[in-house]
Amino acid sequence: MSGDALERAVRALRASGDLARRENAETRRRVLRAVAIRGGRRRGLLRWGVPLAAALALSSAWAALGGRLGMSQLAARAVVTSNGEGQVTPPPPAGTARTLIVAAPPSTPDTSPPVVSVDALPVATAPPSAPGVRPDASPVRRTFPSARAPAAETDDLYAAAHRAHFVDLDPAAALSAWDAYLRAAPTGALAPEARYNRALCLVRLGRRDDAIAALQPFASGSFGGYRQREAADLVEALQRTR
Amino acid sequence: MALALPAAAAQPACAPEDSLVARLRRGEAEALAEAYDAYSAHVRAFAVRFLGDAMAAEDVVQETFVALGAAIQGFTGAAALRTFLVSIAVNRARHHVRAAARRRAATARLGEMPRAPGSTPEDDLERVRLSALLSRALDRLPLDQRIAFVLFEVEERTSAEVATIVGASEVTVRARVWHARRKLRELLAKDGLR
Repeated sequence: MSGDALERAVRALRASGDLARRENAETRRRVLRAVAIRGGRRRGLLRWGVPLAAALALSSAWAALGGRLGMSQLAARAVVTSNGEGQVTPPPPAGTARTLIVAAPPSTPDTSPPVVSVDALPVATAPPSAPGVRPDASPVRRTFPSARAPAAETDDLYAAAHRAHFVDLDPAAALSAWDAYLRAAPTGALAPEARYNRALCLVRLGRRDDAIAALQPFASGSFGGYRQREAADLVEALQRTR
Repeated sequence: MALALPAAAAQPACAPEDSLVARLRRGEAEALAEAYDAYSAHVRAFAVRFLGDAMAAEDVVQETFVALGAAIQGFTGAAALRTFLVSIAVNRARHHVRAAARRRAATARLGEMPRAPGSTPEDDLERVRLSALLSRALDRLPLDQRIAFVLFEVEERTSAEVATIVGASEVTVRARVWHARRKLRELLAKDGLR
């Protein structure tokens, strides 16, 4: 095998990338729409999350000064920070019982804060991440249950479906998960992707007629150019092999 | 986690990029639109080369820019924003590799080759054939070797930049590329490409 064949193939693949550089207006629109929705949620979290974190810090300092907590307990306490995304910094390694003091609002300083176990908080699934990229890049987030907005729930549903589809490669589980996402967000920013991926699950499960019905709107351009050619090819192939 | 950047790969960010990054950190929608307009073609080109599948590449572009809003908080500015975006895209594209490979295998079983866009003169057809053969061969490489090969050989990045993107040393990157090149030659020979 000469090196030239590999070089020619590399040049061809390089050129395919160059040809693909053209703008895709539909993708741009979807990106901006998805981010606008998330931005609304983030503003809501900032409104409530930052005062909550500040109140927590004040409460801890007040408790330490007043002798209500020993320094060892303070050291063992979960560290909670808010970065505006509603994320919770993981607490120090287990070994001692950890508690999270949820402080009362500053306007009612005399109220004793309720105590919630940190272990009772939902645990985020660690997404596979490339070195050099913060795990924050993943849509899967660890949030306060009380601060959990509907948009965060639909994000989680989408992430679960995406995982079942692309990582676990389980079309039956993915189909259920895509359906769950679409029930929660039938007109969500990622609904077209969810509908298309759902159709692919139907193809893989051998539900030919359902798959054709699900793909037809894409093939006919109901979703703009999104997946139109690919859907048309799939419909044609499915009809040919009836 | 911030990008770990070997000194050799450091590229001073210019003032307009600093300003764009600051606005992205503040969550300005216009800044995201600007970043998309400036860098989406770059990300798309990488995704197409890496996945060999234009539609899956489009999903990677979308996921990369949606993720940028959160990821930018960990951007230190030591690398170019463009490089940072590719590192996000690499992370996202990993999830699409197997699906793209399955689609490619199914196409090959049906004896069909991907169609070239628009009119297809002979050189276009040959380019499509060669890139499809290479993409199919890439499907059979370990993921780390595939990433290193595409970034270094196909995208013609420096080993320092690839090391930044994948978070490995330059020596490791060069070793991965060397192994990838050797395996690809064998695989292409088996496919009759000489």
